[in-house]
Amino acid sequence: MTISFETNNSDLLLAKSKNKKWYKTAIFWISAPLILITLTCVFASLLPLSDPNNLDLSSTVLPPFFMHGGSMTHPLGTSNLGQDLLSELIFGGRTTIFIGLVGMLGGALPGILLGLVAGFSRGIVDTVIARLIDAQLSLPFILVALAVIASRGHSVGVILTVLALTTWPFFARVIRSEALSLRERPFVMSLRSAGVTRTRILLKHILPNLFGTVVVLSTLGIGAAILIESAIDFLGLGVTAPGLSWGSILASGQSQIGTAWWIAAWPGIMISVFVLLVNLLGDELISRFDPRYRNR
Amino acid sequence: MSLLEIKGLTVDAATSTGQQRIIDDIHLSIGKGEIIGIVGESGSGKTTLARALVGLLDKNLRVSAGECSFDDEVIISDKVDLANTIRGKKIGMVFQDAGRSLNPLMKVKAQIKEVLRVNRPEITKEDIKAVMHEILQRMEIDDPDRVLNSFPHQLSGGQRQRVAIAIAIVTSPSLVIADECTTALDVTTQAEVVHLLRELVRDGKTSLLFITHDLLLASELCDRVMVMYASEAVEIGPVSDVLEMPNHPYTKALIASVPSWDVTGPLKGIPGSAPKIGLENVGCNFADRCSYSEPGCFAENVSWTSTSQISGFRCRIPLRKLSSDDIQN
Repeated sequence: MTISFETNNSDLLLAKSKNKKWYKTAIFWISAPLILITLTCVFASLLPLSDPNNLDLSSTVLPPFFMHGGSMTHPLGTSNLGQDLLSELIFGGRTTIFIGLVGMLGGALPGILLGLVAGFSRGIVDTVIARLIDAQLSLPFILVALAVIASRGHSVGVILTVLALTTWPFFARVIRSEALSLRERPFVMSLRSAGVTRTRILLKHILPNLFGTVVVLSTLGIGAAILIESAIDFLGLGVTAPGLSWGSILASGQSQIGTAWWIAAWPGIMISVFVLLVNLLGDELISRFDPRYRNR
Repeated sequence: MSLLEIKGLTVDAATSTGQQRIIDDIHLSIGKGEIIGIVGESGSGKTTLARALVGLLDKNLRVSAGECSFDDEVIISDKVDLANTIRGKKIGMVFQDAGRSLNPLMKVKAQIKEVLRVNRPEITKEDIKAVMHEILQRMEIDDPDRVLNSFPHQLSGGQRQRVAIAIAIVTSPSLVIADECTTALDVTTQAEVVHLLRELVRDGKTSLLFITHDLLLASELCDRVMVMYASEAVEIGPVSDVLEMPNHPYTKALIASVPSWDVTGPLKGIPGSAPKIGLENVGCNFADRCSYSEPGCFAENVSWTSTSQISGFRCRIPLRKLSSDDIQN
């Protein structure tokens, strides 16, 4: 008689993760608020909000509803010009999230492409691209931002250009080193010895192995772009009235932080929460794209 | 008739310090169904030799002389590189670290399937499943279904190496090159893998080139062994001849340095270390460390002596006294 003690550990784990209800996954709890915030901001004009640029000098610097003197007419309070802060926050989020996404893409697309080309071609092309990355990284971000903005003026387009210019080397550097190490991995040699062509290995084996990195870098890139944009706005070099962004609201609340802390607090909280959520999503996505982490 | 014939294969490396000879004038023929072992210490050129055979040398290495023919057709020489026509189809390769020689993102199923699709397009989709099952069963894997549906990291080291071997032989190649494929495994798993490799060549159609630094393992598995030292072959012959009556002092020293049950006392190492291989080396590469060397060994290059079709050595003063008719050429 033979007794089988074999419990198939990995199968059990796989089964468990498959049976897990969708609403119990971390991805859901991270992406749901992200999507909610984004949709609210995108469809701001459809919401019953007052115009964020509507000045009402009879009710300036009102506190939020839960404080003495606050009311539900302006649930988050008003600015020193009587603008509704909730409305400002939602309309401002629209710009900030847009710049975060597009700014990330502006840096990610050329960065990833150059990184790939450098990593796979090696030789002179790699040397040139690698030196370019070093050169770009050696320029202080603020200097680049000031130079571009001083010569081209403030506008969303200029901010996006600054973002693309300053963030592409981060993408390029990581993707280049990843591509360099992937092409030397033993499984590439093993596939070549099995008669698989170089192109096929690149497309079917190396790119999928890079995909996780790209997704993670991109999500982290959104967070970074939002932070950079807010910093530019805060310095008064980015979005300015009548334009709105979380960074510009933060800047306008700065002078009254002693008396009306909430003006600066709301955009500050939104920036932190949004960036945190995006970064958490990035972390969570790593495990989705690498089967080695999938069962943890 | 031999399956693979290596004639004077030489590989040079372009380094920052100039040309270096990585493989020097190797002669070897592998017959159908034969198991050849290549034994040598790290850096002796074993792996480079294997890679040269399948045309997968690193960019800075190139075949500078000699040739290698497969089924009487020259596939590798200083001018020819037709290895891509036989890679995967007629030659399969197994590497040292099976865990890393499988794509971590793909299930075993997909990886075997890919090699089949690339090299055996005539096999239909329906048959592929049967072929995969059969190959894993031949690899003595108990539950092929689970292994096929697993990612490499979900398998044990031994299972991974079996899968790697399965991928190498699923296209029924006539030669399998196993490059240190047992080195990363523990002794019991090693024994199992060696057993599998032996089973593999039992049909007499498949030949095996078994590269290892483990002399004992080679002697257990192989019909003939080639001992390599500092980019050269120093001795080739049937396992029993080479182990019992080595011609080359290096072989003798290598055998003496293998630990054994019945020999007590300290282990005999080989004094000194392997020489830096350059083009301008004169004399026998082993002369510095050899306990038999004479002034002549340092002065002139040593040529290859064939004692028969299947054996030979590279030494001026072979340990076995040879009569003149023993020596061919």
